[in-house]
Amino acid sequence: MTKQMSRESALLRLKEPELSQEETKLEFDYVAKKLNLTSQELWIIFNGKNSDYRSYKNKHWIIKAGASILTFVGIEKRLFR
Amino acid sequence: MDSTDTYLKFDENGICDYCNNFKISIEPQWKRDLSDNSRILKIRDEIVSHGKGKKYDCIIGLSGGLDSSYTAYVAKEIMGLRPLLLHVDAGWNTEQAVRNIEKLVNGLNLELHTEVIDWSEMRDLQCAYLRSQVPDQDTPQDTAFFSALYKYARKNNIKYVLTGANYSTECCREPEQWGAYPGIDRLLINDINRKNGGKKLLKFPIVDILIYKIYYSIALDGKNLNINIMNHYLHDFMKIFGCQINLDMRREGLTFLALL
Repeated sequence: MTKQMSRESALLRLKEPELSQEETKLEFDYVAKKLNLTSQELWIIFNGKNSDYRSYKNKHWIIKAGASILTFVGIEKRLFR
Repeated sequence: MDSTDTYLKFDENGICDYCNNFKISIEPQWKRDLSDNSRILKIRDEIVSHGKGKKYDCIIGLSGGLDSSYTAYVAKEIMGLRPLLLHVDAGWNTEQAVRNIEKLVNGLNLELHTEVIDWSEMRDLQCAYLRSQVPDQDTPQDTAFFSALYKYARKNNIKYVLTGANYSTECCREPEQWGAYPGIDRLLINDINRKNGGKKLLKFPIVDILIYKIYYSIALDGKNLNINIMNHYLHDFMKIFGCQINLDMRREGLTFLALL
């Protein structure tokens, strides 16, 4: 899109891990400790079933309506959906 | 875009909606800004004339990452403004970010104010978010950053809020499906917190999207201006600060920046 990287090389790059396994474990344990959770508790949350905002009270439709107006009048250029 | 965006739409020529939006809405303005800095100079004149006699004419939220550091540089050196830098410490600063901030403040000779978010509330809210299993795990931190910035700007009567933006890396927003809730929704944050064992938030700043989009922007005529990264200024910025920018090191949405 911005001609900085081809789709093919981007998909290849995405296949590589961001961190090594040891680094990932260290970061994971660090985050758990900082949040006053045990690593095991954080793993249980990590492996839990995903949810989204629709399970909670929200003002999503109001925000979307407002955003459509901003896009329509040209203030917001990016595509939100 | 890879195949995990299941709402991706294609037109009759097989071009997706993100590509079309980029071509029609973003690229023309981006190209114009690259060759012509009149937009930025017009903004500057407006800020300078409004800020006469005031200690600061604008405020910049500084995270220590690339976009906000670059914004601070452009505001001071290219636009000649008198910005106050505001850093919000929500507990997750890397050493690198702290070093970058120090170097920028000294290098640009600007004043810095730091707001520290109550860590026990920040931690509780983050844990509630994790337990809620929603994808938007950056919401607690982003909410703290922007709410504290808007609150500080209002309290100190600073009309212009400058934020960094980077079309090069963020002109294509990730779909909501991946966790990009469109703004600060107080109702949602409080409900997620309450249903997932969080204590009532007493000090944590939450400025709702309707407050900052309607009350701050329209009623109080506050201005939030995006400074987009432009390569010709970026090269100067890198030369002056001798920094390395490694776009490959982007992690969790933070653009990696190392000021040497």
